[in-house]
Amino acid sequence: MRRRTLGITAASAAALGAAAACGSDDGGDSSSEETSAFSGELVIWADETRTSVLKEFVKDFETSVGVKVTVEEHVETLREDFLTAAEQGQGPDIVVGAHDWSGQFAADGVISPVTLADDKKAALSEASVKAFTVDGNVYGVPYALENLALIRNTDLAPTAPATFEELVTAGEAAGTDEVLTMEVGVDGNAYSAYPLFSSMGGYLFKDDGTGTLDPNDVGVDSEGGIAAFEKFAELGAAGVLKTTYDASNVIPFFVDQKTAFMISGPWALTDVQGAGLNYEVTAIPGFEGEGPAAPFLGVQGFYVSATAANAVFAQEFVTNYVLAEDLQLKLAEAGGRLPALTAAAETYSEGNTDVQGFAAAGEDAVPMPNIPAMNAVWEPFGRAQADAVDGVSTGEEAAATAAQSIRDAVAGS
Amino acid sequence: MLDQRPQGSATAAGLIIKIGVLAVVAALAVWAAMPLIAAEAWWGLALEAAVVAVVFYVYLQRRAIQLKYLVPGTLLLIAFQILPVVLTIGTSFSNYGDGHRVDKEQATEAIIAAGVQQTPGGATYLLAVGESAAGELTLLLTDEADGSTWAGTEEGLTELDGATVDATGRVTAAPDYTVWTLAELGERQGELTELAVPTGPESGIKVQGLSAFEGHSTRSYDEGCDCITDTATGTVWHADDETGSFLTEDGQAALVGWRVNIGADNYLAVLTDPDIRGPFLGIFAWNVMFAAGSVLLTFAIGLGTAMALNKPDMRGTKVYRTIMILPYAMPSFAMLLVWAQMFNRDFGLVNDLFNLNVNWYGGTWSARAMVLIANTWLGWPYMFLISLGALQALPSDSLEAARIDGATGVTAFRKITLPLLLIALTPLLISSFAFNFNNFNAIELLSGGHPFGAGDAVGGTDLLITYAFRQAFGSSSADYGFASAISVFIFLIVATISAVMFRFTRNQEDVYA
Repeated sequence: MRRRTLGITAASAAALGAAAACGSDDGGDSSSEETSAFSGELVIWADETRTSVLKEFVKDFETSVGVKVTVEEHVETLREDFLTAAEQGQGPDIVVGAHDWSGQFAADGVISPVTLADDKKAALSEASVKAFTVDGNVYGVPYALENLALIRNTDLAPTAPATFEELVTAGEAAGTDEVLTMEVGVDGNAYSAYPLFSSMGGYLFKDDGTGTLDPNDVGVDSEGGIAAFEKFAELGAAGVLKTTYDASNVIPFFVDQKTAFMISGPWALTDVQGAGLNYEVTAIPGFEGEGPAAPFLGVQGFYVSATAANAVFAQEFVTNYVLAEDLQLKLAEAGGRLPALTAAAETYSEGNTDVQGFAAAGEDAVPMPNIPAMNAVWEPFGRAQADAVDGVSTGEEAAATAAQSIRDAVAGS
Repeated sequence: MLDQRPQGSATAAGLIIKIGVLAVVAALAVWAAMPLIAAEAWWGLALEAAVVAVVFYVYLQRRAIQLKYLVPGTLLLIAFQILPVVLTIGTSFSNYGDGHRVDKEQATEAIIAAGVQQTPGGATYLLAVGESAAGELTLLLTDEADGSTWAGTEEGLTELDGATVDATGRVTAAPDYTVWTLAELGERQGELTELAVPTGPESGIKVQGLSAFEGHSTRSYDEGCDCITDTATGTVWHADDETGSFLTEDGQAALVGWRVNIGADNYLAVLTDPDIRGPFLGIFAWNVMFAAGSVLLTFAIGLGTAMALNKPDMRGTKVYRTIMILPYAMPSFAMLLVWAQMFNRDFGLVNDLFNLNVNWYGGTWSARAMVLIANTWLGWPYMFLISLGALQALPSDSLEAARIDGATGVTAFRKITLPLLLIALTPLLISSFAFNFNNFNAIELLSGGHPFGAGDAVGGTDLLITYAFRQAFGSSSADYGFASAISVFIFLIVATISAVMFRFTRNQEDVYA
């Protein structure tokens, strides 16, 4: 059942052929001289929030390159759909998704690395390129950044708090039902907990300084990590954090003015603006005397499928077309996210206080780890956070249990 | 008509329907055959042809009437029941999951492709592709730094003189070359894959989109040792066909692995690993409890209401019946989500209404009570319906005879009504048990398996099926092989329970029938 390459890859130069893999041919037996059929169109898969934007976005590419581009919407299950299709040698040429998919996709062999020339790399925000780097290779081309920030109802709380303690005081003084809403949920939520966790000095995996994370150095029960979980327990006991805050009520409570503060992302703004509230987006304050509250940076980008039928045009699209300033601006305006291209980001945030607020909140943001070991973090971390908030276990116990489960899972995989 | 034998398609309408259905089958067959032919999947094509031949044979002859009824059901059974079971069993013997999705060759390709790096300071080019007069495929490159033009073939790069370039600098025409249009390039990009343009012993021109750069490839696969060598770092990965990974001497795996058969390892993991075996038994016990509890509660309430509404002197039964069907008529998917919200500790209706402060999701038994309550609410209208139907079909003479013999109330119900009902209803109760045993929606949408103890992979309300699902698709890395092994266990368990119960029913029928 061996195909072409095992025969010819003895010469390493073969890997320098135009595309490392080609075609949706998994016919197997008879393929030494086949040419992959040109379907005549470039297929992009995206999720429901981006499809309509992309459909506009690809028109220029269609006219300038003369290839038809089809954008297909995959609701909810884009990541799984792509994996399933690509492992069969089918699926799209390009998939649009979050950077933290890159570790899994690369380990599954379903995406191709892209080489960005130095000048192109330099034009992008450094963190965004790092976010798509797996094992030293860049696997996706970033176009938009998003992170959590503090959204404040300026009628209920006129000044932006400088520390988390001030936030709690102001939230209580506002006389609302809740002090603050942020997603916790019965399962906990490592993504929204991370800013507070990092403020107390916790880390998930040790960064060797270049952005490469060591999955064997888990910092959930480091000194800072334990302190953070103790904070979760403390805030839970004080009623500031509740496991009953989840996706179904965080934004509605803010919109109904049941809280003056909300920690959420750019996606919340549509509802907030729709309700006609006066609000401001600012950085999430750290705890007094502790480090800044650094949220996770989420980066959206374009991946080229390892089995792309139109590898040449797919690569052209992601490496040249996506990186044009005016196009990144268009995408940003439609999506309300900061462009990954620095020049476009500057133009876009000029005069846009929301974007500036999110950018300020994201100043210390760290890319959400894309290493497969991160999969082992979400559940244990979240549940330990939920336990601490609910007072089921002390902060120290919660941190220790979570760290142990993560280490077990990393060692077991 | 004295001759009672069926006369084939005796009526014109029947004949037309038969022709129509067979025409649809033929059309579907042709439609399905196209991709099979394109993929050169000859076995699949042969199978498809065989199925179509069977269908045509069965319906175009006059004998074998039974077959005409059995064939559609059998084919669907094979396609949608037996085939998935066979595939699941097949997967359960593999390491299929994240990191082991593709075949060995794709894994090798991916690892080698990751070894291609841009040569530091190397040139970048705009790409055009053409053919020389001799028909040799050539890359026509424009250096982005100085605008010089180059022709790249398998021999290497040579300076290209007299090329015409467009505004961006891309070569549009060159003497002795036919330059491809973009459409042609798209059409024939497969040929490009085969072309490697060397610029040095380990470096070459790497095409990326409509650009190219000078790169070097540091990794190569050697069939002799079945290993991948990275010359830049000196790492050698040897293929390990047991685990489906390329491993270094000290056991570090390369990024991409492939799918291999790992024998019964997944089953052994379930049976021997105490971390898995312990929870497995715990889940199993609760799973049985949940299924039995759901059936008993729904049946008790359903039968009770049915008996009440079956009383002849009861008024307004139509209205009651309509109301009672409602929980069953509404989509359970939406209802489960509503119930999940109603049990919210701080903002939920249940706690508000009864002035409780129960953390429904927090405690094992409160969560279990919660899922049973909600599942009973969703399930009892079904029991009500079938009980009502069975009650109305009871022979009134037996009941009357019982009454004459002096059996009333509870005794009559226990000795006459219930046993008679159970003959009709037991198979339905068993299927209800089997359904609830695998009632994925109820658990996943209501409790999501909660509560989870700190560090536990198994929640207090997890069923085997939700546990298996989380193994395969949960937020941790997917492990389809292991999840399939659990599915096979569930299949065996449910099959055994059902078989035992049906045997029991048959005995019971012998007694009462």
